[in-house]
Amino acid sequence: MSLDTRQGGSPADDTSAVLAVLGGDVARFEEIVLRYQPRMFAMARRYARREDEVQDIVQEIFIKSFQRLNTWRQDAPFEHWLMRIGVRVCYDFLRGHQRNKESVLSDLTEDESRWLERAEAPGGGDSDGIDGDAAKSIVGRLLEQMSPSNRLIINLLEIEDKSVKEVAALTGWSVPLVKVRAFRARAEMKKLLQKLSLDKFL
Amino acid sequence: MDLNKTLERLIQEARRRPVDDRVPYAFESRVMHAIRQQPRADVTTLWARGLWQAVAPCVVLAALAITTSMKLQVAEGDYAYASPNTELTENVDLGGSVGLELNENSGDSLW
Repeated sequence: MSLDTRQGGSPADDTSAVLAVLGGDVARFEEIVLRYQPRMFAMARRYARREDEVQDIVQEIFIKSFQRLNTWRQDAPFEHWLMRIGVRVCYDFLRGHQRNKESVLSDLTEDESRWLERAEAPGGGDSDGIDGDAAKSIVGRLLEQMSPSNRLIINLLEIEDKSVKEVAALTGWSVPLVKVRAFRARAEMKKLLQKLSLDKFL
Repeated sequence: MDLNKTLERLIQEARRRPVDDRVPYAFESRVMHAIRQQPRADVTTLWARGLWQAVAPCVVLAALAITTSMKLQVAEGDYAYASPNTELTENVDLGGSVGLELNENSGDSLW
């Protein structure tokens, strides 16, 4: 797989391309795909592990955005509108691909076990770049065990560090609902981490 | 074990990891091909879609027309139920206004 991360373009370019596509010049949609595909891939990789699933998600995002292009009101940035579609496609993917919850929380790797031991040690040493991958891997395991809505909230609010208002705008949920779900998501993640730590010693 | 602290550190690490935004070669061609394969609506489908979209506004217009029509009928009904012996006569008063009044005692029949 080779790298291709072309980016660039301004809101005016987006508007011009969208109007051209709506006018019948479908080929101009490729500009939009080229401009936003890196961001879409980055987002999709937070929700799917397999590369074929990631590619399917990104393709679905662009197809849906093409089909709904006439619903974009030019008062909001095109990028935000596209991200909203992306979040919904990822959420639908999570709901359609909930895995067997018992299987994933087993067989921690050596690095992961070491990270947890270090974190649990009194005074808990600071994590460094070497164990950063292990930490990310542990987070991935925990997220895979969570319900789709909780996983989405943790990704958007905690890992991508978006505000509650931004999450509400992206998901279409109300601000109070986002807050309630965030509280539940953190509680679920904590419970899973506790289970993971206990299983480590079995 | 301080779960909150461990969780916080896990999330901080996950945040710090660089995002993988690599794109497979010629992925945009795959997307454009998929878009072009999408079934296009023919004229009949577009026409039917347009008709369905027009249903709600038509219902509203029809309701308005019926309501207006009924109100007009009620207003006209004050005259419609008058006796057939009634004729309308002019009534000019000193104030300058001209009106019509019903004269039920007229011997002439309108029918």
